[in-house]
Amino acid sequence: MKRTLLHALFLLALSAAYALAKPPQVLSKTTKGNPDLKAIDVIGFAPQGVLLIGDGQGAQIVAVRTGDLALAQSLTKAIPSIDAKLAGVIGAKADGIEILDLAVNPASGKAYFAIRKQDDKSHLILTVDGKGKISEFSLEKVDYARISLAGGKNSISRVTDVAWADTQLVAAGRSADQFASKIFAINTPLSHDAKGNVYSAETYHVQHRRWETKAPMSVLVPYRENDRQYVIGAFSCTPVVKYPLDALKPDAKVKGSSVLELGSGNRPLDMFTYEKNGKPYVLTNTFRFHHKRKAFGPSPYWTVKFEQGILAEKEKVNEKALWRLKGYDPATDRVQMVEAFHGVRQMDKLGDGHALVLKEEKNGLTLTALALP
Amino acid sequence: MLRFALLLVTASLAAKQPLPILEIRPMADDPTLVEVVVQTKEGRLSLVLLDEEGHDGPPILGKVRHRGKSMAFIPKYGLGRGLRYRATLLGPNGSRNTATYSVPNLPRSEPAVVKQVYPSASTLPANNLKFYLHFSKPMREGKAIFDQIQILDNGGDPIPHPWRRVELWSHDATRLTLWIHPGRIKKGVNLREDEGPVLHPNHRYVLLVSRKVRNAEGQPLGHSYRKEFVTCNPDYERPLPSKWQISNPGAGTLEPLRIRFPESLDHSLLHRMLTIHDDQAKTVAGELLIGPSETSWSFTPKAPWRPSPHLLRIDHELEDLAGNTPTRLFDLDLKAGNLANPVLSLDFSPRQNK
Repeated sequence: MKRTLLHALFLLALSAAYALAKPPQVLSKTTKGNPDLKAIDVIGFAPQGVLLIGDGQGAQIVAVRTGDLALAQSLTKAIPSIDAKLAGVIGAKADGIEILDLAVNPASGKAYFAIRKQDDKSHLILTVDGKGKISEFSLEKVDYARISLAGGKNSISRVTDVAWADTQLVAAGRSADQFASKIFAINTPLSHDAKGNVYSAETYHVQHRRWETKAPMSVLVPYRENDRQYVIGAFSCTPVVKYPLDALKPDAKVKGSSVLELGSGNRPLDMFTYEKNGKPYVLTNTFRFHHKRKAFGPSPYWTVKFEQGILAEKEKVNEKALWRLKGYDPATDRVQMVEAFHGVRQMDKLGDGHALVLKEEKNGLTLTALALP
Repeated sequence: MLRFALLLVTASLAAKQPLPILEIRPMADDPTLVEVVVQTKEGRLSLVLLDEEGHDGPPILGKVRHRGKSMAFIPKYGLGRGLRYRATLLGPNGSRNTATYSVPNLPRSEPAVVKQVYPSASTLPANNLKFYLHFSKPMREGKAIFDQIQILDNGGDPIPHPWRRVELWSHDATRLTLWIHPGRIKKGVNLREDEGPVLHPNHRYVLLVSRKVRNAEGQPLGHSYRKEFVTCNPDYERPLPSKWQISNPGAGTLEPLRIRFPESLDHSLLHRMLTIHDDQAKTVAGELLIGPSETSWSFTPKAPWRPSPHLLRIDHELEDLAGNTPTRLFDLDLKAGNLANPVLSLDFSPRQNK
């Protein structure tokens, strides 16, 4: 009897361990063909090499199985004038394309670029491997799931970010005429054209415990704290904000807590979490639109790292949130400007120790891997 | 030694053999769509963009097709106007054959112009939230546009960084929505507290769209565009339909239904946020027209009005120029208590002639 019980307990423990180790299922039902994108606004990655494409004009998120799963050596040598090189493979000059977004496939370490060809407005995905080879990731015949963001009163024309958060996919969308900002939560695994597993909430912000306004989100990063899933991100006007993901209910009105002020006149562009020497941080590059008046560095693009613990703050939020600066001097050592990242326009995490960045240089943009600070 | 001699013979034969004809042929009527054709089945075909000094760019993406005794390389994407390209055939024997091709510039055509800017009124609230710019042609997208459109103050100096730098184009890229940075409009937000609002009441301004703004083909605007306007006090009131004047068209006629608003409303939203329903709750089909300064709206039905009660429904997200809606203010004062529910439908019965 005792032996049977032990055996049962062993099996139970084994299945629990298996369940824990089992990778999350990203896609359930897919279809094959060309997803027929109207535009590409943003790209990101889910596990297992699934490329997430935000298409605001088509009011959809498309999740594509890339099959790019072999972890290869990541970029070791910087590629100068990457903008000209990416443009060159489609027969255009550097100013004939717009690099819309950069994402690293964590499964392979390969860089993916969302590109718009400026003259005919075609959109495409180019990849750069560790040796610097540029290829196209063709969307003509792919295995994909489409998630429609249309329907109801949603009227979005642009997806500003898309992120994988284990049990849900989250996306932020904006309208071209309403001052509204929607956050969409999509239950996973993703199922092609599934109805009813997409819901949206509108994001709000409260200033000085008095003024409440709609507040569009521009960056989304999943973040887990005490077994509760959050999205952190940034508003256009007041930086780092945190929302509990379970507050995103159908047609809910979600209020974010501002946890860190990077200083006004700056807009966070990309953001990710990482660990260094056992300590968790967040890295974000920002665009300073007051650069000419008061520069923070040689470029309007500057980067800051901050302790992840700031996100867990319960009391010092909103008007009591931590400020990076007092006047123009640092107000805390928990938030640090990273000089090696000056000029970084776009970035994504590359493995555990690096960021792959698009950096402004004299002769255009350089693609390079920088050690995480 | 024997191998060296063999190489010499091969090279010598190669030198004597005429190189296959290599051509870059434009397809149909569009000189940006080409195929590189060579009268051989052997060798490696490629096409590159040449820079100003004639240096090769990287190989262009495309497909090679074999056709009988010839092969063709077809670039996947169209070539660029005014650019020069070189095709190369690398023969199996090491021979190299090249051909160049210049894509002609676009024939001169009417440049794009700004057709209209909304709000069209010449007096705007100091917390005006957005401008819609309508262009005559599809335009080139890209963040450069935020530096090519300015708001000048009364002295002609540009106001620094007035825009939220998120591109919001219509699907056909003929309409751009420019948002004045909400962080400089919202009360209590650090950006406004540090930098102040973009617009102040009772000032003169000019919205200046420079010629640098380019159309999709890369041509600048035909001429710059100026919209002069003055500002009045900020609008902190909701647009309430109960204050609208609604006309009563004649039953059995195609007379337009006319609505007058006490203030300008959002031009784009007026196109999709007012709907008319008949006594069967069916949407009435027809054409709408927005009046001067977006202070009126008229609707002409496709079929004559039925002599029964009708309803005008107003979406609660319809905005005025400051982003206030019938249900909430752009800046909601949480200490001011709840706002009364607005009327969101107005009824009318087409009048019957006696």
